[in-house]
Amino acid sequence: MNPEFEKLLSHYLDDEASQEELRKLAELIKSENECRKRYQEELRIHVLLREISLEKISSEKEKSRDRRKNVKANLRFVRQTSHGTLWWSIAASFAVFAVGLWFFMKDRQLPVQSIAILSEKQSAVTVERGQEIFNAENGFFLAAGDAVRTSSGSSAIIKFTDSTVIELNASTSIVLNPSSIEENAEKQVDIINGSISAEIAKQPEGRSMVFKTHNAKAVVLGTKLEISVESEKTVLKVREGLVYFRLLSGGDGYDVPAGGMAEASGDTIKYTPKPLPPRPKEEPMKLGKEEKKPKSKDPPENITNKNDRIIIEDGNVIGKVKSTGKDFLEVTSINGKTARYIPEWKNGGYSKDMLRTIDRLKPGDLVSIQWYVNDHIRIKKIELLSDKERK
Amino acid sequence: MYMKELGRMDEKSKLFLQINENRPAIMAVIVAMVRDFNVSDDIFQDTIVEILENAERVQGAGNFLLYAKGIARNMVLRHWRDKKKLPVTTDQSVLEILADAASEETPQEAWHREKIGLRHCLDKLPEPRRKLFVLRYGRNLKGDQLAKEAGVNISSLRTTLARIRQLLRECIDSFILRSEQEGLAGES
Repeated sequence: MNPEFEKLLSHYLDDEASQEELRKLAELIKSENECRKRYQEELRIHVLLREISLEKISSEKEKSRDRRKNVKANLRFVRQTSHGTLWWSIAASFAVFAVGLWFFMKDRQLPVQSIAILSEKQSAVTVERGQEIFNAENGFFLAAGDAVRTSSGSSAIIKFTDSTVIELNASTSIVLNPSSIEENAEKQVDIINGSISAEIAKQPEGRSMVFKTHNAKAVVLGTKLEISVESEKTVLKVREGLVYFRLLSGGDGYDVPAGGMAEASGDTIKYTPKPLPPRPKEEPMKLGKEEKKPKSKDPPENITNKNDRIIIEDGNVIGKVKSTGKDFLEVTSINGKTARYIPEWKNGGYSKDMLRTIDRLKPGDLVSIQWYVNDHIRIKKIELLSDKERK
Repeated sequence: MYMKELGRMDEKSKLFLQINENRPAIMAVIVAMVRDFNVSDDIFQDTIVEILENAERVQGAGNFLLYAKGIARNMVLRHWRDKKKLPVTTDQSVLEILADAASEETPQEAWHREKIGLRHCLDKLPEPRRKLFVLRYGRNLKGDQLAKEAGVNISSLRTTLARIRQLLRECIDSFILRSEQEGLAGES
């Protein structure tokens, strides 16, 4: 066999052939029958190796889940579909069984341990389960390990048993990670390409919902978000709640709050916090006798949320500093309400930048505070509005 | 039972079955043109949709596989057009040659035999080599990343992969030969 051809073929199969090498390879394939035959043989093996390797990965994951866990997960599924009462549970189980049976008979869908259901699909949506491919219709039961793909011009909604909803936009592929049904495991969705929007139901403590892309990971406890995946970057936009976002390769991540956006590209995450509303006035404000009050929103008085990863409200308040402490700030807003604000939690402690800012403030200073509430009223950003006066 | 089900199936489901049976052959045309497995998977997906949307025309075409391969080629070109990004090889004639050669018909039986042989031969590979192949083909890793994950020196990666492929080819050939001889012996 022609050694040059073998070398070119090898480079081609490893996806490392240059343009010149591809040209030479094509010439040899065209002119020499033996080369053409070798190319066809190696391409067959190349494609089959891919198929078998995927089968192996899939079967290794299957083996790692023992039957006991499956039974427990099944019970959990039934529990999750119920809403507390026995009758709801029985009725829901019958309904799920009847609908499932109908779809099974209709599309020869294999009986599976469902974790989600496909709905509101537009145009063609396919589901790959192992080596099988289904032309999925609305009501198709999705199992852990399923790959769901929308074509260009189609879309679909996936509803999980806990009311989490994921919308797949056109040309999007996701995989419902098999580990999702393991006990105490995170519910993980791998986004291979395309973009999704999601509304995630509040997740049980310690079992967050995870979206994984080729280079980033978004950990969610309950929120609304959008993720789009491109060849070199992943973009996250948080509509509500708080999402922990980090690179797959490791390093520190960011808590991205509502309105925030983060972009993972290469070895970095570019984090853009929620854009601030425009400053109310250029001039220092005079409280008391002015004709119009600038917009100011006070944080809620009673905070019942104990989970620091869920943002329940956010806003912007304008007011005067009443007092300052080592790690807090009390502000009386222009609406007359006083609240205590504390810095954000960053890298295992209060934000150092914010502590320094608080330290510089004096009672009577007029400030604009961008705040959000998780388990406390946190300061996202402070603007000193009366610095001219101080000077 | 299976045949009864097949008889009851609607036309689209039948097409699905045909696509599934011929998946490697269709995939070969796409891989030949784009080389990257992940991109190939996406294009294969679009190919399925295109075939289903043109179900009547596909059924009227006679040779399903030939038609499906033609659609796959068009989908590759459409993919590049949509992405507005041409591959490294902008020379259309090079792609045509590679796709033509990949499109030539290989009996389905040959695919099947080779797949069985390949499974058998892969299991015989020592663990580090098998791992290297699962990373390359299952996880679609290449170059530096593959070398790093597999714990192989980057400078010897190409030769290692080529050598294993050659070993697999020899193993498959002897496996098929042995199976044929055993089959003949069984018949006589």
